[in-house]
Amino acid sequence: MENQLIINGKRSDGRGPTDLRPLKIDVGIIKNAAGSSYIEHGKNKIIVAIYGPKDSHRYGMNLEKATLRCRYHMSPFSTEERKNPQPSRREIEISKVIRDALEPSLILENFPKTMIDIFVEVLQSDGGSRSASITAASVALADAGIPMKDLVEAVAVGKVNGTLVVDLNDIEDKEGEADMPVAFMLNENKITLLQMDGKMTVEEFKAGLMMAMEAAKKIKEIQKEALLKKYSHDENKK
Amino acid sequence: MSKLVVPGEIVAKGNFRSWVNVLKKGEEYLSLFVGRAEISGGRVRVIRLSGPYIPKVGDFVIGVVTDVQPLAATLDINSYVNGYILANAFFKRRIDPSKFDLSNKVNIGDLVAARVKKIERGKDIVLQPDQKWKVEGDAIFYISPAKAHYLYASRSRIPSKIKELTGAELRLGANGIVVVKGDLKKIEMVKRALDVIESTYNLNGLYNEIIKVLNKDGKSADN
Repeated sequence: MENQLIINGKRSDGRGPTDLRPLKIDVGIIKNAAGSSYIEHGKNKIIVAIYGPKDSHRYGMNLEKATLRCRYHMSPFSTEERKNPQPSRREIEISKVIRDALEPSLILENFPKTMIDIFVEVLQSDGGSRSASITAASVALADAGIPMKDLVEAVAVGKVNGTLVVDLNDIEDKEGEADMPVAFMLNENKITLLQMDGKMTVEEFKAGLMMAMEAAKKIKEIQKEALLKKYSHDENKK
Repeated sequence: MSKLVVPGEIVAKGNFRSWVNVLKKGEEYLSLFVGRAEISGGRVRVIRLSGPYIPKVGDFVIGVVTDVQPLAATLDINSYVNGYILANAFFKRRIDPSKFDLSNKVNIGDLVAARVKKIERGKDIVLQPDQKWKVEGDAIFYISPAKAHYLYASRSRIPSKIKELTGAELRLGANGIVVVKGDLKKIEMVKRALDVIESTYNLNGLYNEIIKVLNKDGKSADN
């Protein structure tokens, strides 16, 4: 029998279908990095650090622009059961997905023959860690002073017990009928990531995309607040 | 009055004669960085508050020699690229490398003041040594290149005020390398002033903030 995850319009954690989980972003937490951020999105706790632009090795060097590299890694203690610290197939895929979602927002042509490293370390995992990683990495890149056309914000939308819901938690991610992470550059009106696991009708897909876009607007405000908080802290002291 | 902006934020609308660190999209000007947006005299710009040193032709920089070859010296200029000074530029004439040894002029670890002469293929930075190219000092500090470039580019009064109030000799490169000459007390005072620059993002209030900190320092040292 199918698990009942939505009862009287409320989800397993008490949220409505369009509600986001609590979201908090801190900027500039790693002094050694060019830029960094820390995100708590639901139970996700993720640190992102940016290193570079720096001299590129000959292998993989691009003569026209900087090469963007990403390493998404889940700490062994990030899950309920110990996770093997070796990069899994899923982590390698998510590393690529994060890089591809962020690259359109960056002006990498300013830094030819160099590389920029994005390190994503998941300290505690919940559903939607790739979306949270993209949101945090975009903020960290802005903190690193890499020129970018827009911030990128990501959120998942899915179908649980036949209802479209935004920002899936771990149980909804596993038990739901569909899961669709989407990343946006809202000012540019562009989607930089769109994946889907499961099945949705065309109408559900369209409605889900609109729900994701509304949620992304809220996330963008939180990203902006986090950056402004760091860069205006000296004014607040006065 | 400047406004703090984030990447993608609309800084201004309309038609401007020049724009710096913004992306023009139709009639909108979007910020490319986290920074302070300034609009004046038909010009819109964002002063970025973070990021690496991006060399520009004409910039005065201070570099640390990392390699000396017969024809050129390589310098770490606190950027994502290295700077190069050709041996000819040091000797101020064409030289035969078999007869002249560049290591008699510079060695690894030396500090050299130079101007950015040429940027080739977007990455190779050719430098021209300054007239007083040998930089000697008692301490070297690194400040955020974005702020150093702002101080340098805006012809800020801040470096000369730090010199005046601390009594230390100071050379500031647009790349964020600061070389200080003076006794320990003077170096500590300069360090405190640089700490203010590092921790303050309100560039408009920076000048007064530094004067306040250094005056307080001077008084406490006299007591």
